[in-house]
Amino acid sequence: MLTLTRSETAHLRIWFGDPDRPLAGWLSVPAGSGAPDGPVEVVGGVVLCPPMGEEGRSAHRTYRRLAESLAERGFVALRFDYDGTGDSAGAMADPDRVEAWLAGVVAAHDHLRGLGVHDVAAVGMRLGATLAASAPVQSTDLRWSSLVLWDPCVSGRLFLRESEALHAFGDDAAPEDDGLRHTPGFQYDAATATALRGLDLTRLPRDRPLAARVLLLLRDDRPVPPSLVDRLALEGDALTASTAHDQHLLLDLKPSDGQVPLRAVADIVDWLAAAAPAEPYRLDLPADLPALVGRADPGVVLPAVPPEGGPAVAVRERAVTLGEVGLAGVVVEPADGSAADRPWVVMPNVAAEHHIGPGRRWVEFARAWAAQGHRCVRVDHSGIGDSPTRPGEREDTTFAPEWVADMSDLMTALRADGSRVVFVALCSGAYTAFEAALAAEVDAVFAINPRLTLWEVPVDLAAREVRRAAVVPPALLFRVRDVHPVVASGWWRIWRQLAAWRAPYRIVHRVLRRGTTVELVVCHDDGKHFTEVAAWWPVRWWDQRRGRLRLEEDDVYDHSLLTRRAQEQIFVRATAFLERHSRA
Amino acid sequence: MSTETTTTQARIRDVLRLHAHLTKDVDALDSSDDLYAAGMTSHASVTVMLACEDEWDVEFPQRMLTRTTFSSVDAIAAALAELGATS
Repeated sequence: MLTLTRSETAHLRIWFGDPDRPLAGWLSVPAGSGAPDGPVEVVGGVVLCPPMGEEGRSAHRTYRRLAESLAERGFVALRFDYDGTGDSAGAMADPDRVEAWLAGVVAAHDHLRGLGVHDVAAVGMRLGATLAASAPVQSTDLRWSSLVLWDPCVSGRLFLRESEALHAFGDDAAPEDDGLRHTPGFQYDAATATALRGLDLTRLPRDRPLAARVLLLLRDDRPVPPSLVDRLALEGDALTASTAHDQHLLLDLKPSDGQVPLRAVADIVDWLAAAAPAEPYRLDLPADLPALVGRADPGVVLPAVPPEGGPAVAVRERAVTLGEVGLAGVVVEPADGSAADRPWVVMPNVAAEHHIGPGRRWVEFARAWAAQGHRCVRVDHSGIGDSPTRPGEREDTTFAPEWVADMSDLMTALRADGSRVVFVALCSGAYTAFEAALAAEVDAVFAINPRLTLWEVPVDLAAREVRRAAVVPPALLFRVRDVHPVVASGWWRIWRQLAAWRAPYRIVHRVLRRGTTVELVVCHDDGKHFTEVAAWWPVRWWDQRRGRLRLEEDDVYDHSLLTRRAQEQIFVRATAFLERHSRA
Repeated sequence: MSTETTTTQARIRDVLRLHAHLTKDVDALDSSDDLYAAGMTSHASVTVMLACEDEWDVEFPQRMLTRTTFSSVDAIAAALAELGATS
């Protein structure tokens, strides 16, 4: 059984629901009370229904903290991914999305009940709140003991409109006439858009309470639709309304910059704990629970369609911990074990987001490549996603210096049996791929919009000397940048021309000299870091001529890979890259 | 400028004051000034859109969900006028 222990909580990786389309989840239970193999003492259970799409990526860390906080107060918390989202089976393009998402909420409830939890509560944020409130309509057996509606989407229609507008108002928007509804990173087909219209908090049965107790947390910087107030007023004394503190710091920033709204988390935990029984009761987690998976477990078998199309192929997916620190990873490979002699395809998480990649593409790409015969592992750096934090280090720090040690650990673990390694990585993940390639033997790196100049990092962290693949501007420029970012950027570009040893291309060249092949796929803004330093032009020309470097510069590749066009083109290029380097 | 236009623009500025999170005083902006250049983020512009819909009881159609629709006070006023929303 795969278990991660963080603070006072044990997290158990589980699969549950329909065995043919298993849902991925983490069961968080109070540590030290017998977990993971013995009985645990709990006061109740809570299903955590995550937001959808890019909001779901942003909220991953918040949900992890919430699960930990609940477990510390004696609850067993189940956070999970809906069908076709996160690490669960299925794809966004599958039919009947909304129905499947609602079924997932019911399955999560039933899973906790099946474990022996007496009272099951739910916490839902954004569309997760809409789904949690709507699920009892699907299943008459489902009754939430308590329900938290955390900044809820009034309706699925409104969720889609807001997400669509956010995409359209962003820098990466480009008109696409493909019949899909485009949101940041994720796309929804017409049938899903239609089904989303059926999700509406204001139209829930008026004669049926949502739960025995309801906590409504609303943002105080956004208008509140009167229709929502009218419907929830029907809950009477069961309703408590309050402010969703700091929600703007979570959702109004890029997922990499969002902050966990700790006050709101504390409010929710306190409110749920207020109704918990004084005496905990014993919960027996069966040691042979078939849904629990781990390192020694065969995992689950999923159907996946290879990149070239055709019939689905069985692939096996399993959660693993890797290296000394126990990095959380998900391995997917051909179910028949035929990829044992193939290189590992490593797909690191991006920035401070967990390992599903932009628009969940890491999951979908990895499954398709596994169907083609590759073996892939998508992995969280320490302090990110589901990985533990190294002692003395901070959580959720993008480009953290300890990521270098993570890569060292990872390479040791993956190469222990002589396996070869290639990377497919974006932005900060590409940075650590280069760190890995400078310290160990890496066959090839497919680097999408890599950032090797560490502007985004506090100067003390940027300059930590463990780094090999980082280009750190002089400290003076960091200070200038705080006041005049444009001026600092201009100075840096001039400085880089003069101090060519600080040019990011030097890193790429060092990696190439170690025998690693590199493919750089970049938008113009990211590409100029590698192309504009004149002193390196002849070297780059020579590297390309020798076939060790491929470079494609095209603005179709938005930096964060949030547009469908970019995602699709990357898939085609990366598939060809793997064919060249994985079979060699 | 008609009284109706003036009133609409004043209400738009009220919405912006509450929801746009501008880095400049909204009253110091010209009605044609770029709100994004004045610090409005993509997320804030979505909130502005929702607040406008709430304020005028309209719904911006999908074709209007573009960055330019909410790029200035004038642009928002024009979009509202197209939807038949008056002061």
